[in-house]
Amino acid sequence: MIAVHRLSRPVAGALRLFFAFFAVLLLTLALNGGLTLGALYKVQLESVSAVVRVVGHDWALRIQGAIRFGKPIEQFYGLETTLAEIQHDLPVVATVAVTDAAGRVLSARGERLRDGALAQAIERSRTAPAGSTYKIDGGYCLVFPIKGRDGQTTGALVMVVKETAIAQALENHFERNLMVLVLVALAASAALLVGMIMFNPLRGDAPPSGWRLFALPIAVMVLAQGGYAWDSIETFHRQYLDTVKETTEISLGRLARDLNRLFDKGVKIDRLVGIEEPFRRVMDNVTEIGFMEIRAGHDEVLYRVHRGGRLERGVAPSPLLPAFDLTADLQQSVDGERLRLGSLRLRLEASTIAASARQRLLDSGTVTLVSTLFVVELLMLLAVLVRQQPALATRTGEAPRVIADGRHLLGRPSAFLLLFAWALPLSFIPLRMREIYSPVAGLPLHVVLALPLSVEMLCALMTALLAGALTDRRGWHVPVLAGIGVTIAGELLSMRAESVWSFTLARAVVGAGYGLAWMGIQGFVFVWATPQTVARGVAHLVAGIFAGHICGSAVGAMLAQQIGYVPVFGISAGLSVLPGLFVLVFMRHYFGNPASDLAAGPPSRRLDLASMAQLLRDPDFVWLQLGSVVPFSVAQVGLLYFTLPLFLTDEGFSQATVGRILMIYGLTVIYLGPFLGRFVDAAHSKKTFIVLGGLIGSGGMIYLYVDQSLFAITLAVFALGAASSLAGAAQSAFALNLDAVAKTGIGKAMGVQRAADKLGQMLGPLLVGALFASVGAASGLAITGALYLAATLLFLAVAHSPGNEGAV
Amino acid sequence: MVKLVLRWLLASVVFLALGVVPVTAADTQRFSTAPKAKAQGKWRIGYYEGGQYPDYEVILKAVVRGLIELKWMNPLEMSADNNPAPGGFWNYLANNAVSNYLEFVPDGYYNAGNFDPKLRPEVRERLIKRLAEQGDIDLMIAMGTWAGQDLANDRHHVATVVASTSDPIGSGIVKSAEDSGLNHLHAKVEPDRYARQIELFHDIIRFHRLGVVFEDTPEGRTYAAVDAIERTAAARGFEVVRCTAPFSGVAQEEAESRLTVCYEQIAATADAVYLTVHRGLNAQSLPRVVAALVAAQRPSFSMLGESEVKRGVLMSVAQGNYSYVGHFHAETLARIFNGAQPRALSQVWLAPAKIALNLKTTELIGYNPPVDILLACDEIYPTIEP
Repeated sequence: MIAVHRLSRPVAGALRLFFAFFAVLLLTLALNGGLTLGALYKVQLESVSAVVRVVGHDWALRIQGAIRFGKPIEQFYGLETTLAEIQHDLPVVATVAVTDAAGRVLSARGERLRDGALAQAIERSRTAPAGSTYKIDGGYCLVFPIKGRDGQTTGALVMVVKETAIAQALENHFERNLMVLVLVALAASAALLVGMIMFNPLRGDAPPSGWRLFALPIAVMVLAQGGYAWDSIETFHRQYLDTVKETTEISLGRLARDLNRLFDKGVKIDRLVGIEEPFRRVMDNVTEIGFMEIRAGHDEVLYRVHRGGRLERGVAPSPLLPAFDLTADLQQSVDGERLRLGSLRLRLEASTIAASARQRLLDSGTVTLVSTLFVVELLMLLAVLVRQQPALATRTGEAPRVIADGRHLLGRPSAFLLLFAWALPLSFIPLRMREIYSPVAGLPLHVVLALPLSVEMLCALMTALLAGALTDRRGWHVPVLAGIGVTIAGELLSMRAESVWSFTLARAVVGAGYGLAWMGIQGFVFVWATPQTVARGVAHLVAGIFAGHICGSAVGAMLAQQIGYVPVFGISAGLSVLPGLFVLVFMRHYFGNPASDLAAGPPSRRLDLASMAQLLRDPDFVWLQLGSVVPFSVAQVGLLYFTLPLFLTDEGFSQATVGRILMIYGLTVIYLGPFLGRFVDAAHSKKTFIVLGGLIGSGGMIYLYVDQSLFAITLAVFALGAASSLAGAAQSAFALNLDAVAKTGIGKAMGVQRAADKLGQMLGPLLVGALFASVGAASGLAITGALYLAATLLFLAVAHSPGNEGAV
Repeated sequence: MVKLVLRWLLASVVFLALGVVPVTAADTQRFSTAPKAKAQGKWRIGYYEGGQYPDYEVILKAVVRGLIELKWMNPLEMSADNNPAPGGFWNYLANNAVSNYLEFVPDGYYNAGNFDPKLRPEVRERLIKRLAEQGDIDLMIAMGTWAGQDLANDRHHVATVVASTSDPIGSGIVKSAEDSGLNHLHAKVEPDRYARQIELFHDIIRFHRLGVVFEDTPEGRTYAAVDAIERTAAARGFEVVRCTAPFSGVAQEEAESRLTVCYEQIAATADAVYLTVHRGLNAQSLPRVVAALVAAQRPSFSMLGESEVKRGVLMSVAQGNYSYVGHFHAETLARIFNGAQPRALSQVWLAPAKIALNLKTTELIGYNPPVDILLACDEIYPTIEP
């Protein structure tokens, strides 16, 4: 064993650094691996669901057709045979049942379920989107409504797939992927160790620069992530192709079997009137099919039906493409012999398969991106710890001490840890609400589902205001630590909540804690960053917030898929301790206010109307809010969280694509913000950057009037991200230099600014929504951009830069 | 003293709750179908039919099979064909059925000739007198509308189970689907059964004039579900082309020939035909009717079911086989013997319907059924059986 304390300082330091980087590598690969394996499971579940959906949907339509022909569902002749055939088609289905409209089982085959389990699933299917899958008793349930002759739901076909079936189907992929992960981890660790030994960054007396310190681990981790991602992409692609193959084989085989049955009864192959309908049903369920056709024995095309329903008869036969065509024989039983009548064929669309493959590539890329974000934040944390020197805080009345450099960066890791923990359950709060939903106060379902999130945000807004006054009065650390404690309590309450009101209350508590904590961290940056570093500090803070939000949401979704919603609240509570520990261990020296604050005299620490009025009488502060803060928030929420999801899904883009475009905004802010922050800090006039940000952001939105392509939308999102990077930090720097802010108190003033920001976020959807309704999407966005531009120009004309903006 | 009064009150409440609360149709499931011996002797079953309609014996056999499945009697071999003699099968039952619990009374068979309106009142009075005064029959199976109408009264109180009726409500046998109206009466009711058939036929063929043959008597109209046809016609906007042909009070041959003439007539004037239950429509007359419809290229729908589709009617949606309804009636008998009041048992029955189509007929009349209809069919007959 190496006794570290006997080694020379550079070697000992290098080893310590190696272990730190090794820990980051393992954490990152564990995250990437967890996300990928979770995604593999999800893809497998979707694959199995797709197959079950194809068969289930078809059978439900057949049962529905028979009901339309007069068979009552309660006394459906041949139902037992039907269910037996379904199980034969789908061995992976453990239970198949037909229920009446109320969920009472009329007939079932397979494993017995808990009483009322199916009724519960059916009840949930009424409000959930079509095609959803529900967890039920150790399995997944798919519900296919059966409509009666009057169009009302008269029953349901229900299929249950066991979790063990999914896991079994995934076993090979899982094992292989895990093995690759382990190999990549070993190779990356070895490369890291060898690199540290050969290029020890701590060699020499001078402190190592950032690049020397982090170039090697970044390179190793990027390569490790890349290698693992490449293999995962291959796995995802194989899974996808296997699914397409399986669903098309099953669909083709079943239809061929049904047609053969008709031929056995004397139906002629050239008298298949209305063949478009069964073909259309197959193609609706398998989007990769381009056309289906029936050929006679001598290869003459009798019927060809294209996607979209167009029927062609007697067209020239196309040559067989083995990679894209599937064929099944059509036969008739004659005197005990099978006579070949012709063939049933389908052609897969290469372009659709390629598009789906690209989609999977993007999905895998998203996983890699999230884990890369995680790597960067962990390395940032490491960098901060390496650079940080204890600065000495003052208490009122003590002599001022020297202020250390680099502390403006501490906001980023603390915000990242806070947001990571807080964002874990964000993606499924409405889904959890749906699980425990019961009608309350006559509110519509969707209002109730939105309640917890809305209440959480409202409480965050309210406590953000309070946090400002607390920061001024007691120091930034008070709202941070109190807020973290309240958040933990709220998440634990969320775990135990089993009713609409208790869950809403729990989320309100979480929101209150969150608002206190993150405003407190922001207060730290405003109070402790120097005028030369405040813009960077704010930019890093925002970057940490976005990174934590993105990573936390992704990890939370993955965890929820594996272990359910409720335990994730507990994990969120547990992880919320980390930012508290970080603050207590690494930021304790900055508790309170710096000595330099004392020279200016204590600002009013009360949250009172007089000091607020004083602040709001300052025209520059007011114009900052009206000309930049509020308009930017309106544009931001209006475009990102209202327009984008609606507009893009209406245009046929998937939720995954919408999510990826939204991530462009976050990534721009995370990486461009801190970079531009140093220029903001170095500049004399912060106003320039505020105006520049406004021009760029509004320009992107106005451009959407002439071009609504995906590229233009992406550009607008990027422009808004750039605007945030430019103007966001500059706004805080501008305000902090105003006399009125100093007199009122930084905390309170920033609290008011945050409230203005939230006001803009609340107005955004309403304004943009109203514009959409009256003038349409493109015009609505352009008008919003024009209003943003007008506000920016007004700010430029009217607001004055503070005398000393703290430029270097 | 107070305790005593309270106990008495409690006992009264319990007594009242048990005794006074009416037994509802929901109590169907409360009564077992397991064999239960009569206190003394065996349960004695009688039978009354209006005439020798072929389905009556088929259904009676299905009921017997149901009783065998429920273990009320030993397995019994029964011929697939109907016994040609009136009451022939009943005699067979009475002499050959082996059971520890019930017996088919040898002289418990009654019929009104073969739908003889002159015989009917005399038979009715004789039977009711026996039921009211002799008390030697525990349960009557009333097969068909005539039998059901004749026994649906309070002149006797012997449990009566009515089977094989087209429309027991319309023909006045029972008050409603939920309530027979008489404590000793039970009749199988299939709400909207024929309306559904006509709607389906209209959905597929989209005819404008639907031909129907029936006897213009209250019974004839219920056998042919004329009320349901007319209601559906009014709702859907198609015309009903009527032709009346008698079946009661006429010889079998006359019933058949007049029915055939009617079908030939409406084949020329209607654009689709609904073949209803009629004594004149049977194995002998059906081929002539089918020939007329095929010659006129008229789509046809059988009220009765696949047996007629096999022999050339275009299609039908009707009960697949009588085993289900036989089981239904057998369970009803079993519950009555276990103490249930007939009125308390559910009358509503939804037949598990089978969709049948004759492919040869489609060719002959030039109709190409869509693939979805073919796929939905339970039976497709490639030829027309003689």
